[in-house]
Amino acid sequence: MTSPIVPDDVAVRLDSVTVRYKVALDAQVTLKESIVRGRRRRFVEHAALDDVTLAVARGEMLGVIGRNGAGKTTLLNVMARVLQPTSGRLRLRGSVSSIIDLLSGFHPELTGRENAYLRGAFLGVSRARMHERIDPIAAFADIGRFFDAPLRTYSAGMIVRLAFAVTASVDADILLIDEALGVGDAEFQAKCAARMAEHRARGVTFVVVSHDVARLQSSCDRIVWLDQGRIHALGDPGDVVAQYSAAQHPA
Amino acid sequence: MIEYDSAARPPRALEELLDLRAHASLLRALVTRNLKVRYKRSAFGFLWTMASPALMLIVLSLAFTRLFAVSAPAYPAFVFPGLLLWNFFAQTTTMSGEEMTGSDIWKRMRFPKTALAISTLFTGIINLTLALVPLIVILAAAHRPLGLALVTLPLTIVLTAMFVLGASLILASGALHFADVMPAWNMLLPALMFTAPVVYPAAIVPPSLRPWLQLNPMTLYLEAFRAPLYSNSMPAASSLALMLALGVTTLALGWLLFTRSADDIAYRA
Repeated sequence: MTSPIVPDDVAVRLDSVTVRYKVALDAQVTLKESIVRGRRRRFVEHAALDDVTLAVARGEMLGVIGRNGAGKTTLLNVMARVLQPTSGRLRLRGSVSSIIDLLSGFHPELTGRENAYLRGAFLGVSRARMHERIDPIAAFADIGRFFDAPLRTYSAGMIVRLAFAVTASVDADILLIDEALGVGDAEFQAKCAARMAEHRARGVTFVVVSHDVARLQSSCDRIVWLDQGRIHALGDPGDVVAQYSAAQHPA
Repeated sequence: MIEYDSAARPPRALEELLDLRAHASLLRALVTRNLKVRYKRSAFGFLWTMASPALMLIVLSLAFTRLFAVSAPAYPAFVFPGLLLWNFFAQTTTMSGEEMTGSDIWKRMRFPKTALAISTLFTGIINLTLALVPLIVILAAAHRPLGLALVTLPLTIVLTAMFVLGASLILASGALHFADVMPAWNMLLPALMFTAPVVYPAAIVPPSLRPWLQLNPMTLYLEAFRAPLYSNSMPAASSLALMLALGVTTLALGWLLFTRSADDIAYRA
């Protein structure tokens, strides 16, 4: 999908998006310090995303690669509207569901079932819809009787399964996935891949962050390589991955 | 098809309301979570919620029944309503302030951030309503006159809830900017409690000092809540009007302050 994208076919569009964090040099200033000593917190600015312009076509699967700290998760966070861009413009067409963090919205004392309802509610899914989806979610997570046990008794792998099962069962037009989180064992990965193929057949747009470059290369329509918050390369998966690999392992 | 454009957002205070409507199931899910987490792991469940006010009730009754024999006869029946409403105020403001600043859920998921404060408020209202049962039992045992004035209780609770939500949001806005707001609030709460007629009747305060009690906004709500329970009398219409005005103002201020800074929450390092 290297042809120019007509605006009507765009699901996600970023225009000159910059996310600038203020990184605090000291611990949080207290009210007392700010009054008594007139002290302000000192900051250095760090651009996690720097002037990123990017459009994702409807139904496209875009892979995001780059080293740690390159801005991959920040990019997902902007698309998920967790972070408002410091400057620039974000446009979305369609509902968004995301899995950027495994534990968010989960409570250790609640069971897998209860946590599934809770995560669904955070994602904006109605209760009636969750009632319909809860059995398929249990089947997809495939964690047996642990589905009705408190989350604190789960292994890390079971939490991954539950989190992905909920997100994979939500009908969204745009799915944002941070696979760098870990995706469980080979069998579960295959199940996730099959579910993603179903979603893609329905025209769902995907943005996937992963360190598994080979897998992204085979499944994505395009790949964007982020480096220090900027787009280093964007286009055909083969080309971008070749450049990326060359840069990782200089001859 | 849902469309979003960061360059064409409605005012934040309005956007938050629209967002809450789009997340209609979230409030219910959060209240369920709060109640389940609280009651799940203990055999006593609801009794634990009542343990603190019950203990306070016993200690205060032992200490003050004699002292307030004239100004507040049947003292346990006088002090219990005050303790319950005060606990509702203190626990709701503290819990929403801490939840809204203590977790980094903001950095990973998008949802209307006021939902945490509103669900904490509803959890508090449910607990307060449940506590009315032991309260009525105590009032009956103390032979207090219970009657038609009780119909004003729901209205008083709603008006109090508006004020409490507003206060929670103002507190959370402050806590987002300064690390010591919540510790300071926890320190201030006991002092605030003794500047309102919670454990003592306003009648014992010298007339020259009594207007100062009104500076504590909770005085208004406490007396309106207690009147039907303790003496089967309705709160004055003027009190209710004042409670409404104060509630609306506080809530509007809290809503504007909080939604204005809510975008920055995810940026907090």
